[in-house]
Amino acid sequence: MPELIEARIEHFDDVYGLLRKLNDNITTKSRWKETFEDPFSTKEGNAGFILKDGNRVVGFFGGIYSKRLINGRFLRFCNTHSWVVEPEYSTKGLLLLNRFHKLDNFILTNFSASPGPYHIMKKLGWKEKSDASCIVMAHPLRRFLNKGSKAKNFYFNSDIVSLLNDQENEIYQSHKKFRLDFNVVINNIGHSFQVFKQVTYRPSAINRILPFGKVTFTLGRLYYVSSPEVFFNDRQYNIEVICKRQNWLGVILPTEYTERFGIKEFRPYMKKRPILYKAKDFDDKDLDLLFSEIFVLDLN
Amino acid sequence: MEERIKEIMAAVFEVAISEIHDDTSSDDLEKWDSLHHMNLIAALEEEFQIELDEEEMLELINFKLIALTLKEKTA
Repeated sequence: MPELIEARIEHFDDVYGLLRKLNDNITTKSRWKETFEDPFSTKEGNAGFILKDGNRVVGFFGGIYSKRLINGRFLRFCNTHSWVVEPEYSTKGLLLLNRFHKLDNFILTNFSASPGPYHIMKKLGWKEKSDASCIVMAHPLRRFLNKGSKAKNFYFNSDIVSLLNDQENEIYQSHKKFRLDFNVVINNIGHSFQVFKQVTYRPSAINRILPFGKVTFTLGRLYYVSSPEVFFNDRQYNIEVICKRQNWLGVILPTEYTERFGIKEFRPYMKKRPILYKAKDFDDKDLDLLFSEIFVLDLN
Repeated sequence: MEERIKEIMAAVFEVAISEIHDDTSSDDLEKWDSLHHMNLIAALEEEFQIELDEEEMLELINFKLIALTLKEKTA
């Protein structure tokens, strides 16, 4: 009977072997190791849980912990990821998930469940938030027409620190080590802080008709925006400036913003990830994908 | 009821009903993994018109426990 124990740094090499065998061969060893090194400095003391049979690690379910200030409340999160179990121990896999369920006062999240785990988690009471997104393309001509009119109201990366409130600063300080772009936009309504991640996008409709080669676009995906009414007030201009600076062809936005701010000039973004969470007393409008494996493992 | 449970287990785990005994557990059937376990739970809930809570779902790892729990739930 395998035993269930906390995953600690001394188990990393064994877990890495399991991940290489059963999960993926794309993520580098150093990125996997970061998930074992308390990436958001919570001192929870583990990186998830493992199943061990004798000296052999036969199962792993990763957990990335964070403590966040949201709307004036401190909340504890655990982003679960990378659920792998040796086939001969597959009946014991649920023990790993159940161990996370026993964590007190944590909001559990999972953003990468494949169909099997997705089905299991939904059955065990995990809720789902929509990941519907769309692409808003940049238009170089509009940027040219707007040149110089508002650019002084943009601040990027390390220049933004003095402008951030506590909640925004916590996000910035926790994520600045990852490959992300941070902006602050200021206008007469207020200020808005955004976190973007560069992603590559292969438009299947175009690639289907190409006789050879494949087209890849570089876009910026919006993962966080504070005061969205500020950012989307001058949205087309703001998107143009950000895209020009980063050499992006456009941005990927959650459709909740296209609906809320009446954005009509967009095209659908088909790639979706399951956004699952399990929590008591938590409104999913406060759920975002920050403090997760998406950044620690640098997922697209 | 026990015969019907065995039929459901056989269907979910894709084995002959003769392979399901009173002492069959998750260690005995190759296909009894986490996903098939949840499929079994869903099939049992539907067949017997019951709802299992999370702890019960995770505890039902052998035929005896399944039969006992369902008897209590349907009593």
